[in-house]
Amino acid sequence: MSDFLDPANQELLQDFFVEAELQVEHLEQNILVLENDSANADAIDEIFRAAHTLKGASATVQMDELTQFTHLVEDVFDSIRDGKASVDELLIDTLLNSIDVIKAMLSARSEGLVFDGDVSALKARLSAVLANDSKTGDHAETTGTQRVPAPDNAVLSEYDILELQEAAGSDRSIYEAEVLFSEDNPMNTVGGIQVFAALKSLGEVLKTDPEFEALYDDVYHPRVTYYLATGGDVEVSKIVSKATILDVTTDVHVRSVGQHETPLAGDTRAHEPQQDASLEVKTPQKQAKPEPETASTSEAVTNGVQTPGDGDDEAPDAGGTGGSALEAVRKGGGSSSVLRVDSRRIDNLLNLVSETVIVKAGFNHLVNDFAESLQTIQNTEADYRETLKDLFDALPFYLEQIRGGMPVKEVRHAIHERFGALFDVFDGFDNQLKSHVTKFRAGSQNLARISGELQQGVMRIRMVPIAQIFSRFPRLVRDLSRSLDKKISLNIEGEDTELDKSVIEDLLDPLIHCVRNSLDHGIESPADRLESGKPETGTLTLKASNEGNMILIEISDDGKGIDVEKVKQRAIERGVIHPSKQLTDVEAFNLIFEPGFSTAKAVTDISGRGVGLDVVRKQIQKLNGAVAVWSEPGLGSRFTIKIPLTLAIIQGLLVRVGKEMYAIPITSVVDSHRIRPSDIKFIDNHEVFNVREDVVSLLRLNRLFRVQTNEDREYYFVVVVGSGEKRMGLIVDELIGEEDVVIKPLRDHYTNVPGIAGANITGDGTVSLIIDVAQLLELGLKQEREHRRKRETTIRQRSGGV
Amino acid sequence: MKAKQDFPTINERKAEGTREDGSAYRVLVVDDSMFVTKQISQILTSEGFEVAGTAGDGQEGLDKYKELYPNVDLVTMDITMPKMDGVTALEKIIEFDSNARIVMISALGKQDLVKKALLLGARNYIVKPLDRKKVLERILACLKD
Repeated sequence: MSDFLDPANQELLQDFFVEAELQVEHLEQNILVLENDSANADAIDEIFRAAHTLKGASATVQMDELTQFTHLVEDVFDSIRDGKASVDELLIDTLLNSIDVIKAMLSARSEGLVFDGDVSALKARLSAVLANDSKTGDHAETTGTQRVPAPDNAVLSEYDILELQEAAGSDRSIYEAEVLFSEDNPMNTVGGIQVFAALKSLGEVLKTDPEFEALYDDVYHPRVTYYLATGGDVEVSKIVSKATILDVTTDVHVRSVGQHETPLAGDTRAHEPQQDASLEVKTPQKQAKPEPETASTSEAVTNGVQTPGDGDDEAPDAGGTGGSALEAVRKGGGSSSVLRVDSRRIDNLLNLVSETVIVKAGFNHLVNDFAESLQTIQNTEADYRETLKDLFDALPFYLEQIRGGMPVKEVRHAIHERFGALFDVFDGFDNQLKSHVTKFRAGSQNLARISGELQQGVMRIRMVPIAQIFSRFPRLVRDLSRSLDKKISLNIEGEDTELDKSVIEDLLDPLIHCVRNSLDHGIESPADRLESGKPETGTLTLKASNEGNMILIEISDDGKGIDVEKVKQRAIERGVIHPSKQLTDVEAFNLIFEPGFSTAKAVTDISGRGVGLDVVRKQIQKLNGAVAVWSEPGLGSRFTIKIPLTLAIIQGLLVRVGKEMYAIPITSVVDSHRIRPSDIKFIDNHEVFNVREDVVSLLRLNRLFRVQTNEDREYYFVVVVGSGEKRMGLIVDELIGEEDVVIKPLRDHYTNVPGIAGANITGDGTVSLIIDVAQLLELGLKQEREHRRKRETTIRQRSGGV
Repeated sequence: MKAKQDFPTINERKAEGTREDGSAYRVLVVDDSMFVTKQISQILTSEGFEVAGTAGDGQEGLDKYKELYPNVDLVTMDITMPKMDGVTALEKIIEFDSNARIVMISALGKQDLVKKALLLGARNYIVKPLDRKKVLERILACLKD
């Protein structure tokens, strides 16, 4: 047993699992690339590398079943890479099934069990791929074990010696090194070159027997003779020690050539190579030993994985594969609590931390400075008081003098003479304090900058690209489309959009639901599509983008769209809505998120039990997000999921309306203005005002939120907010300033307050509400539409009356 | 007859990864597998070596080597890596420092690349799966050279 499996080395094992998971994901992605582009050399290389790494790592942790299996898979990849096996659908299926098995093996191992599902059928299929190309198969079995018969102890002819001497020149001596190689070394074909390289460092290797090219071939040579030309000062023992390589060589003889001497005593016997247990893994064909805990294992493992088809079942069971892939996708999402962070982000944090330390040192200095100032002011004040006391004491004396007939001018002069210093007693202190305050201000500005960056840096640690979950979809879509007999191509956009790790984990399930829904109910079968004049292959697009503090995820398809009438009818049947209720299309679409709703005629095993979409809405709402659906009949439908970037801190502009404080996310603020009431113009009975060339409509927050406030004032403050193309001016009483806002979600019955995203506790302990700009804009638009409708009806009524 | 102090005790045994003067040999580990990197690091640090740095691909390995130089005694270099493979990285490091001691880490089946690496100046190679004894043996042999 190697020393890496001791229980104390859990840490290493955990790393193994994390990495293995990554490699498997890599494998899967690239196999899918290969499916569409079988000549993609990069993908093949990547696959090969990942399989190779996986095999090596599993051998180290002694997971024999995994090593064996990945080795077989690797061989298949090898023959793909050499162009010996052709990539067809069957092969891709076999490979994907193999990946599932590898996943099952890993997950069994991570629970301390050993996978014992029957993989012989799959192995047979893999071997069949190899067998198609007998040479590859052969190669796989015998890697590194070809050997050639040992040549007879070659004797150099006179001519050869002459030639060597000529090549060496007169000032170099020639040695002949005869090296015997161990066959037990796992890479026994490398030795010839290794000794060559070692000897090269001593001089020039003029000739080898067998020839250099033969050494370079992947063939084991038990005996190689090297002819080495060296400068005069190289000793034989030095050559021997150079040529002796642990585990590689068994015997080295060195003698001088050309001078007719007896062989030098270079007969140094190298160590007999010891065969190590761990090196025996080179032939991973040995049987996996049944482990004691197999009885319990089999259940645990076969649950997670469908063992790929039986021997006679050549065509893969697509439905089953789809199911297992789904499982795998889900499992992968839940198990990783390890966060992989770009080391540059950590470096950046360390840098910032060191800066704070410097600033702290600066503040320590400042404390001393201020203490000094305090001392100064105390001293100065004491002086000042004393002088003042003297002044008061002296006053009667001066009065006496004036009374005694002394001219006032003279008395004043005397007073000035004696007490004039009172005027600039604080001057020194003043300057001192001013410089300290300046320093303090600089320091605190610096600190504000650093702590801001630090906060951002820490937040960014939790930010991961959404690719982490998007990457699971190609496989899912592929398997689902096969089991549904539909042709679907998947587009992924914006996969490097980043969002909070905790958000991303909870996002996977809703996304899977939506995608399944689109595939199952949205996109039609190829025949239907052709009939309605669309391309045979349907398109599903997954797209992520940033919108202010929100992430927008769109799942759109070009399928048949949502049948509004059918939805309404079904909703009435199910009692979700009242038959007489008037619904807009949008409202009707969103009915599909109601619990117990399904428009599919037949329940499939993929989606359509009517539990999907209401779960989606619940989960998204849990993330403070919103989900909506939009559809054009015949052209497709689009799910839009909007979730906050992170559940944490944003920068807000604090404003006051009446006695209430509100925070507007600074990322939505375009600019702010102070306007007179006369600047407000009316268009269509709407309050607007001009910002440079633009006209921006105004919304009075006090009216919107029904806050009592005095509207009769000289100036209004307007904050222009925008998200996307839309802009709007919010009228507030006062701008307070920027502040970091920690978002606290509003719970329960407050959740549906339109225009409010959450609450925040400000620095002085009061609560301010955070304004949801996107919602406000919508609210504004709605108001506008309502007004317009009202006006139109009144106009119609009027014209009707006329 | 030998006195008691002639038998070295475990405590007296010098850690293999340190020089006569007690300072540690400094090793740069280049491997795209975090797992292997950790494994090599554990083996080395347990024998008193200092892992001066790690790198996840050939390019990073080259950069790290230049950054550490001359405070690095040995490099372990994986052969198959993304971006820049181990053999290319080896070539570039040797170009930068012809005395660089580099030990290749290879899996079975990469004989041709190992040969190439050896000819380019790699000091030795270690076959995966890694075995503690072999790793130490080969690395020490390389350092004593």
